[in-house]
Amino acid sequence: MTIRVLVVDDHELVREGIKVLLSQEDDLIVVGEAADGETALARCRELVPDVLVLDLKLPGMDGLEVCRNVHAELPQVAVLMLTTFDDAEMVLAAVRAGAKGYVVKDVHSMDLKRSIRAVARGEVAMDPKVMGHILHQVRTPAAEETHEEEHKIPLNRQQLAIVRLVAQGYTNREIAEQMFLSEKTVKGYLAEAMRRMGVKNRVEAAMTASRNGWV
Amino acid sequence: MRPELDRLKELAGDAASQTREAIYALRAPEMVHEGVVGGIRSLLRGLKADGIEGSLSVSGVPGPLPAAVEDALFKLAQEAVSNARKHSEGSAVMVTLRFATEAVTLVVQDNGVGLPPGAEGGIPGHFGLPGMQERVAALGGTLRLLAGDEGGLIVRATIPIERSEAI
Repeated sequence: MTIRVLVVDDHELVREGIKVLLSQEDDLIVVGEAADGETALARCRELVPDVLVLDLKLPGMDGLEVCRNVHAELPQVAVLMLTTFDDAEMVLAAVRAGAKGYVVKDVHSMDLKRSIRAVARGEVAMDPKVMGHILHQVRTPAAEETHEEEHKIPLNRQQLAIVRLVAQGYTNREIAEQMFLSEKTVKGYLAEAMRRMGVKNRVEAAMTASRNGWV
Repeated sequence: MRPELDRLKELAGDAASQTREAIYALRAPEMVHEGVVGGIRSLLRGLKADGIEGSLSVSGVPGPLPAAVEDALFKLAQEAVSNARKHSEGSAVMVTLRFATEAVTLVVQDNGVGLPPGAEGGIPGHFGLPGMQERVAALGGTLRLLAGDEGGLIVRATIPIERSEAI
């Protein structure tokens, strides 16, 4: 069975590259292409491909929006996101928008073909690089709720809230205003948070929290 | 006469906005493929050579930003990170990018010596931030330099975004 692929990327070279790659395979055929979101959606409605290889960043309607529309209107079309972003937020946004796969643009050509075949079969294809981010992100909110995981964050809720605001670039005085606390109290909580985290200043506190996915 | 004048005015307006777009299209090479997030990442990687630890935290979903906003964010990050590298004497720089529905906020903070007292407006010859202030203000945003409570400098810019006028 041949898998019909629609390639969407605003860069012609990327589209050409993918077409050349896929033309080497008997079971993969590029049935169309588009360089922007609106055209992508129109081509999708017209061609109903098996797999839509979709760039996340497109002029006009962006990849996420295209993905949402395709997922809603043509659920039989499997969307494989192809992008330069490997942020957990972006991956999750794509998954929420209905993407079945997510590969980063430096993907090996073999892996791209494998991913296309996987999503065409109804499986999920995630770049191993982004998988780590996702697992991390998925674990993090749970970490605040479950008692067992709570021990891994050495901060109580108020300290954590303060560190989050520190990461957003707020000063103690501004944090005090937002949290309806005195500046002195904020300073005390933050000092305790920094002590528990083993760091010397707010930037290191914010960095540690960010690296551990607490913010 | 009147319709011709209106038409000319419209054409001049179009020409001006096209020129602006053309200028913004001359992007920093770091940004061409990866946008502002990738651009900042590569700025931070450059800090390693000076023994400074760089870290980027992105929250919210980076939607398509107007080229002018993306450009201003990157230039601002570039300026602030370079100031931190040259003048802060600190060991860590953290950049935070927060994408909200109506605005995007960029924060660059370091753990260095901070600004000399009274220098929040910038120091001539050292900080290119007053220029950035104008750039951010032109986009309807605000830029603030704040002293970190344990020393260090916080550069915080918020630029409003209208999602409808995407790129």
